[in-house]
Amino acid sequence: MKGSKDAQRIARQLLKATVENGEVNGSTVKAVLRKLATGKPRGYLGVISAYAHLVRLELEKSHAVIESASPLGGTLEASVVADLKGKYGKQITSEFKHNPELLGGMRVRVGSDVWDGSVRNRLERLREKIG
Amino acid sequence: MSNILQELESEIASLKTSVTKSNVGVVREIGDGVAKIEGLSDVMLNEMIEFPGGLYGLALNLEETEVGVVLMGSGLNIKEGDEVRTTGRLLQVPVGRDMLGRTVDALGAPLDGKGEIKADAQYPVEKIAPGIIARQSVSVPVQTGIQAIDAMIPVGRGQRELIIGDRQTGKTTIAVDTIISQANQNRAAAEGKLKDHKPIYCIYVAIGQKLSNVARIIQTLENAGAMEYTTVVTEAASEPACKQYLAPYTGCAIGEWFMDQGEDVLIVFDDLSKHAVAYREMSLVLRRPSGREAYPGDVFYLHSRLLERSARLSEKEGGGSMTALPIVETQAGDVSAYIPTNVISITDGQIFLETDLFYQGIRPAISVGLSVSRVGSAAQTKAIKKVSGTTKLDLAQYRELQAFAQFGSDLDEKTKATLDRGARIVELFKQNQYSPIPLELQVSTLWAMQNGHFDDVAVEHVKDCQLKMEEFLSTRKDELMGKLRDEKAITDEIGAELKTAVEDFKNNYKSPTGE
Repeated sequence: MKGSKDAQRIARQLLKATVENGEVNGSTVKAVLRKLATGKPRGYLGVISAYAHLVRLELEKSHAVIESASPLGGTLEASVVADLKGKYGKQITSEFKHNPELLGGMRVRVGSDVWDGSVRNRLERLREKIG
Repeated sequence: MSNILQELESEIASLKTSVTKSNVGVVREIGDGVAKIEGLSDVMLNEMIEFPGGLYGLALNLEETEVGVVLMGSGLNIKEGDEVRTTGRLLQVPVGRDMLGRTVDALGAPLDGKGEIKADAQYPVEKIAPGIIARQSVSVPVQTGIQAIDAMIPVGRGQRELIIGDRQTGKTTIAVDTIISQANQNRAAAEGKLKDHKPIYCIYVAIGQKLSNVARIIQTLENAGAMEYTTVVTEAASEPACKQYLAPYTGCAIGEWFMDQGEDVLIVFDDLSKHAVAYREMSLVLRRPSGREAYPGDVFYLHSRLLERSARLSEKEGGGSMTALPIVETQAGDVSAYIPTNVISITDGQIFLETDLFYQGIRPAISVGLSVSRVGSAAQTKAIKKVSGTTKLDLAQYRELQAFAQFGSDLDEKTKATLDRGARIVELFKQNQYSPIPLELQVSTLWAMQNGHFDDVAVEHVKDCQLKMEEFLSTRKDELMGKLRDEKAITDEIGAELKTAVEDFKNNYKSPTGE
């Protein structure tokens, strides 16, 4: 238990060093991993897995998953990503998914925020309201 | 028809343009009724979390990268990777007058099959207790209808009086008797027989009880006609620990609504030991550090914040009150265990029930020495105060002398008189369950005892004499009893009439052996 706590603490410090202006710096991550893999300090495997977990969570914060009922097409996709960048004020990686279950509209997820403008969501809210 | 269509269209129009923003998370781990969620960056403490399939959970642990959510139902259909979302709502329950006569669960949903409950408002389950300015001191009595309590350990409106004792000593019975007594008084007041009586509504919260017990209590309340003034909140032993943990707070929220309307409420928590156990279970599966007896560190706060919500509000705040009767079970009479000492220190007194007394046939088995009410005689009517002033002292002296008297037969007159008086008071305070005694009859019998009218009745016949006297007074001396009920004091005139009435009865009284 103690080991895992130490690993968490070290991983947190490493993450702090890797994040610059709210973005994960890829080259620093690589450098950290190289250092850990070659130096093999005590409990390094635990540190790496805790570090990987934290980096994944950090990356998810600036990763957008955009679902739509029908494929959006190049220009629309680019404008959605540009809008998101403007909103968050940082670089956003994006991933587009085709999900017919939405019936229509779009559902955007960035980190743990979800903007839902899908027809399915509206219908569900209507059902809740009418009860 | 057109109205419905219009409404539907306006609803659709209001939904047309909006894109909803929500905060979501992903289930990473689930088991023992607790889910660990990743994400949920905007979650609040105690917020309701919506799971797929309409299941809700309560966010109790906010950690660095995870949120510990306790499920309020069966989590059998929840899988790792499921998406959950925040609702932006702290846990709320429906409250209102419609709750009376109903049996609900910890979320305020009806369990009695009597249809939907029309709520007057939604109240948060967790609420900060009223402050000092909003309160006033306790001075109006709650007539429990149990003679020993009303005479020696008076309970006032807004007080918190703990009922503590081993299993099977009649703790629940005292609470149920009190509820029945309130119903009787409410009914009498509604019929115009009781002057200046503010009704007391009752809430019975059953935590981790056997369902058969709860059903029996509801039946008892129904038979006594008390259910129409009562709400039962129940989370049986088979329910998840989270719901058992919430039940008393839900009861409190229901009571607070009445209190905010300026009305008086009595709430029974049956029992807080099981509540603490449910909370311990929840805390342990949430991996919170455990302390004494494996209870978490905040088990004191768990009960103090609940019981502090009982109050008597000032006239400016409406003058409502909430009286709490928490129940705690002890093991082998040990009041120094963790939970009993905690709750004893929070409450304004305790009624301690003893197994030994119970099996000696002294029921209710109230231990006079260990029971106390810290509000004291401020919460007694003048009449009761006058006739019961020395009763507790008399009984304490009796208990002390009783031990000595066992060794010797030659006793001086004074000792003998104290012993005789004590034995008769003990008899007088024996009372059948579910039969509360109205104030005027309590006063009359205690007056008769104080004035030596029972001294010539053999100890074993005191109960019989008392019952017959009560019958005589309530049937033949109705007018006198009415006066006593209205005045709530023994004036010179009432005293004289009472003397004539009791003497009248005593002249015609024949004990079962014909003496």
